[in-house]
Amino acid sequence: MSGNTINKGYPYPLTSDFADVQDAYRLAIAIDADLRADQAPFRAFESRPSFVVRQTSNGSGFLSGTDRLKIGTIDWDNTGGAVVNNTSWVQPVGQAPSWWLFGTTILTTAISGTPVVGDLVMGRLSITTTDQVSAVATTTTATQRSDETNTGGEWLNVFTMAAIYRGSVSAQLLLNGSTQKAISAGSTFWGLSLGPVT
Amino acid sequence: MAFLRKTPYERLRYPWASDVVSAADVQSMASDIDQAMVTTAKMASDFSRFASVVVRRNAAQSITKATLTTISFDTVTLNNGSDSPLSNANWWAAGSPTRVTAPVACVVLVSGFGSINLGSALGANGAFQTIVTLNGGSNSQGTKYNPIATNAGQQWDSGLSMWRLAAGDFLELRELWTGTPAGPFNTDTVVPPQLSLMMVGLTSVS
Repeated sequence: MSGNTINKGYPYPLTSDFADVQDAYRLAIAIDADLRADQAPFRAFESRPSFVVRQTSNGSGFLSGTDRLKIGTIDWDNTGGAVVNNTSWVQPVGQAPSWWLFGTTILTTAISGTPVVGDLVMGRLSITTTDQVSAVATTTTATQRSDETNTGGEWLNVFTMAAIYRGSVSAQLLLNGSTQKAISAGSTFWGLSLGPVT
Repeated sequence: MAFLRKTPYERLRYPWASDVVSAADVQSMASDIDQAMVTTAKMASDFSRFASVVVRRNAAQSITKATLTTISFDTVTLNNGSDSPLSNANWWAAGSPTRVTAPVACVVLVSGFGSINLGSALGANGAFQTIVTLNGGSNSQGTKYNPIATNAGQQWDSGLSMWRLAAGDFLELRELWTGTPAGPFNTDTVVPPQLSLMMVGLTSVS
């Protein structure tokens, strides 16, 4: 086997060579690997990294401060970054700097007392990314504020786009009020990779 | 004709070391290469053609106070599932006007937009909620807010959500309002409720 095609480099025997059955094997393997590589971008698009997770039990009540959505069940994850009982999703280490779309629906539930109309209620996405050169991690947030309506639990829908590298993201509830509330079972957190930064 | 083995990915047949190569062996391999090329070309043609659907409620729909109401869609702006080789069936059908149903297992990004026309202001404890619900159950994502206590007229809100759907799973848009008035109130007909959905991934890619 001493020749290669011009464009793809597939191996083939020259007319001066002895016929060797393994020539067919080597040619088939070369074509097989090349086609598989050519198909890779199509497969990658159809299975782009994404996840959908939910909290499955009510969190602990608090008056003021912050709590994080705790992953109780994983509806979908092909990133490996969502782990049950964790309070954040972690970007795959091998992924290049990438644009992501993140979203969450944070539900609240009253733990004690009657919620007071106008008490502060905010949903937040906290996004941490790492600088490729300095390795310094920075955190940014996206927030939706919709204060207490006292009508049976609040629904906060937050979404944002972010360019991240070796990042992690959490969905959070922020409160400042006079009665205890918590993140409710059913709160959902999701992310979708939109593609590389460059 | 030799006993042929196959390559790991495209399953191209090839003769093994101890065989004597025949013309039929080369013919088999050439045929498999040909088919693999066709498959690759089809993947290149189809891979980005995810299905999408946009449905709307143009006519007024009555929403009873404090009752989570499923919106029945009467206008289909876009329903291109049958044109998508990745789903190959429509998402919305007139027989089930509240539902958008996944023809295949997939991951979808959904925008749920809710609207209502308040005949009178909701008061201090008023709220307007719009959610998207899976299979008519409690698995829901959406938003809720407290309109200005003295404001009547049009109110809108919207939420973005993502879902993993099995084939046959359906999503619905639901609205709820509550407050001082007895109601009922109608959905807004100027900027009506709408659900927009697009497949963004497949759950299984060979």
